Amino acid sequence: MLFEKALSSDLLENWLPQTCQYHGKFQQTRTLEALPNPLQSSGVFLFDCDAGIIWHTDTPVISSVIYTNQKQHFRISANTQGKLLKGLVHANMSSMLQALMGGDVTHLTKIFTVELIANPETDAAEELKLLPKSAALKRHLQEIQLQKTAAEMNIWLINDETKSTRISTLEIAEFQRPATEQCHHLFGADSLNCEALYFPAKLADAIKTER
Amino acid sequence: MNQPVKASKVTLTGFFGLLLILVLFFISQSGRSLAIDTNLKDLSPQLTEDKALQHAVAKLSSAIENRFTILITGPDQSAVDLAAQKFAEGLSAVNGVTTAVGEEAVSQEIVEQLSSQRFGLLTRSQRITIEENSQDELVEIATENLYQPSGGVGFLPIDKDPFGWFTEYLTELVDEPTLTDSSESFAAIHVTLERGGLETSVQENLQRVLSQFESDIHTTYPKTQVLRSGVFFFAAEAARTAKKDITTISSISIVAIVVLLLLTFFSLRPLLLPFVSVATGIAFAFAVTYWIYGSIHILTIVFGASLIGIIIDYSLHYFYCHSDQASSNTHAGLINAMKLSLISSVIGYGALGFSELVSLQKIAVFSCAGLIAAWITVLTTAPRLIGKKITINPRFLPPVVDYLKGITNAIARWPKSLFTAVGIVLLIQVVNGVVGNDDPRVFFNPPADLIDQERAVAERLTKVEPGRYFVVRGDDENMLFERLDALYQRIPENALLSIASWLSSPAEQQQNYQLQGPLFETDGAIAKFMQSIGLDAKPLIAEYKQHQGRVLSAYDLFENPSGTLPPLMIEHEKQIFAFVLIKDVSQFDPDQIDTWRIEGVDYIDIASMSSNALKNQREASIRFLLLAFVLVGMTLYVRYRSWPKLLMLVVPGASIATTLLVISLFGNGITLFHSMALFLVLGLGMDYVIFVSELHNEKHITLQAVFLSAVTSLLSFGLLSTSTIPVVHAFGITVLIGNGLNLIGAMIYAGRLEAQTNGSVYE
Repeated sequence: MLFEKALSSDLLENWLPQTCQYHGKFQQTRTLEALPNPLQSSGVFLFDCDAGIIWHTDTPVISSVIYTNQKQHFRISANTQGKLLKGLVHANMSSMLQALMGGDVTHLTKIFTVELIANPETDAAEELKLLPKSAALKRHLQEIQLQKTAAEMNIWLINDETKSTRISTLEIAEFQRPATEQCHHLFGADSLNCEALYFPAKLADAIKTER
Repeated sequence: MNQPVKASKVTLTGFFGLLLILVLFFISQSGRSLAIDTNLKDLSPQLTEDKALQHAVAKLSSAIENRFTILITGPDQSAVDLAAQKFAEGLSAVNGVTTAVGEEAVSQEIVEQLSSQRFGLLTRSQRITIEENSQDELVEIATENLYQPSGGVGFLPIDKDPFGWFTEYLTELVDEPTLTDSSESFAAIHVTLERGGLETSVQENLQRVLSQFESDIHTTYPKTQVLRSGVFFFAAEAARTAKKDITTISSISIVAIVVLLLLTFFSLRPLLLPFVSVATGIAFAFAVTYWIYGSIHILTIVFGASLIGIIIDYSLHYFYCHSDQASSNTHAGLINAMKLSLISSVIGYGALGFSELVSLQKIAVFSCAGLIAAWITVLTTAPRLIGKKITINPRFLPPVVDYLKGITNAIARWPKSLFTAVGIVLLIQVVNGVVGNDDPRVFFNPPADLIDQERAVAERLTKVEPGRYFVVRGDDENMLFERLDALYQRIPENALLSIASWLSSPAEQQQNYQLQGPLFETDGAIAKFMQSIGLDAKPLIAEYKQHQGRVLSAYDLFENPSGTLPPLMIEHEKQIFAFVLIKDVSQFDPDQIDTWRIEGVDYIDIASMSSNALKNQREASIRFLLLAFVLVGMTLYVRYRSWPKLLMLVVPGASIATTLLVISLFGNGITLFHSMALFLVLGLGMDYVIFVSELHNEKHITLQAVFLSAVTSLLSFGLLSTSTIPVVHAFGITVLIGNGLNLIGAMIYAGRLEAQTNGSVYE
């Protein structure tokens, strides 16, 4: 048991990002049983361990999802003020994505059992499998697979046999500027994305007032 | 020579009658286990006069009593889940027990029923979205949702719920725990009992099973901890304590009385009559109570154990009147005294029956039946059981009684004016110094460990206030939902939990359905969106059309939900009642509720309502006590045809006044149970003065009999006062003080009678 725990932590330490503030691009492929073709999308993301994540899709639709550390989450579409995202699904996705991107090993090993899948020929580690411990989580998420190469990191969320999402992150770079400045540099000076990430309470109040 | 006289025909008939009842009772109960009830509700008065509301409150209480939660915690989620699964499987194997593992507030069954009516279910924000956006905009929003990180993941496949609205509906409205950052994992097992959560047999069996499983879990998963939460555990603990008290009180009571009798009479023969009368009295009391109420309350048994000290009095007086120290003509006086004593005791105990508290009514029935049966038994069997004369040990009680007499006789010689002055001072002190205490919490003394576990579970799970909720009623579901809406407008939605948290009214379900009509047209938003991702919308549109006119009844959904929830809705006498449970009481001010009364909405605060009801009961009990004094006074007048004889009432009266004062000064105020115990002080006090008065010519033996009777009663009630059950303690301490004073009063009365006879009293 002790060995397993040490192994899980060490493995994750090596696999997960070591930096706290970075941005990059992503490509997402979602497979749903009912759909004849997988859903392809791509965009940019920004992660700041002190604030949260901006997940901005620019193809085929323009839309952002912001998961904040303040437990307030938003969806911001082009030309809209934004919508508060409530509920278990968003809360859990936020918690999991932030742990994965921030390399929160303690949180991840609490929720998941970590398995290493090595290449049988080279015996080198190729893939890391995260298996949910909780029966409740297992109902919505079967496993997470992490694949890492020198240039990119792939995350494969397998909900069940019929639903899965593969995310590839690439062109990852650490912040070159102060956090908010970096955000505005990436999304534009008047972007609501940065306001949502760094001033979530203010935006949430504005949304509620408008309602 | 004073030979025991044979029993009259009436007494014999009564004796055989009660024997017959006993035989019939035990035959009818053979092969069945006796239902011993531990319902703490019996200690609380009715909270409301409204019968329909009473029914609704009782239904909810019963559901809460038959549910409890076991929470398994530990550092590792897998171990916790496995332990919870093992625990639940084991519990489910117990007859009449169902379990649900997980943190869900509603069961999968309810989610499935809701999904079948999903076209009528929309959240407020979904309705606004439909109203404020064009169909093209709705398609755009749905597309954005689909590509976001959590898109397409939901309770239903995308071809059944393309906009993800049903998933959003459930996750927005149902308050479920999220993945926590804490280092601790936990899993909840929600247990529902088919019935009998407050019956001792069910409790004992289940407690044994739970302890066994807990021990197994600790062995297999040493790092896990098992926490318990629910009324069930408090009731079980109360029953365990009460049982322990019964065993202790009855054992010590019996041993002490046997020792007293042996020391007093120096023979085993006098043990026979008390034994037979106590056995018959208690068995008859048990049978009658059981027949009337269908079960026997654990508190009734505790008080029953103390009845031994009173029942035995008849035997003791019989012994003394047929002892070597009695003259030959005491039998007639004894019978008169016993008759009068029985009447006054039955008045005293019977007055408890006027209480609205079921527990006190049961005690009244139990005690009256026991006293009557014991009385008949003594008169019927004594002539045969006593045989030859009883010899009294001259070196045991007589010197003690003589010593006490020395003191009380001195008081007895006080001038009447001094007695009057003392009486007035006492009365003033009572009026000024007696304070009431109607806080229902003083009646319950749950162990700290159970409270800690309850708190620990509440911190981890969404728990509702057990003693505070709203009851909303309506003639139909639409009226009910209108009133629920009115309530939700005054209190933040997330502070409450009711059918409205999951379901809309039938009318609103229809409106929601109609609102989505254009979306489900062949060229509507649904068709457009599904087409854009390569799906055929026709089956879903057909399904939508099939649902026209359908509504999901909240009553069908929530009458008996499994999982964590008690029933949220019941139907009674053509009215529908919904329970609105309170998740977070801090979000509103309960004191403000009276200022915004909504028709058909009642706020139930068990503690506050119990406090008011207890106050009313306490005040009523004092009025009944005064009535009992009047009734006993009338009985005395009928017997003696003399006004001065009514002064006999001064003995229990002064004892009661002093007891009230002492408890007010040294305790936490007079509770209902203190005031109810005063009826016994009256009954016992009258007993003593009646024997003193009736057997005045045999005062040397009468005072010994009264002293021995008082000592046996003081023993029984003194032991009750050591009980850890607050109600029992209150009863015990009141009678202990009051009856101690009764004894002194009776001896002063005897001294005064003697002084009057001798002409040595100051008038």
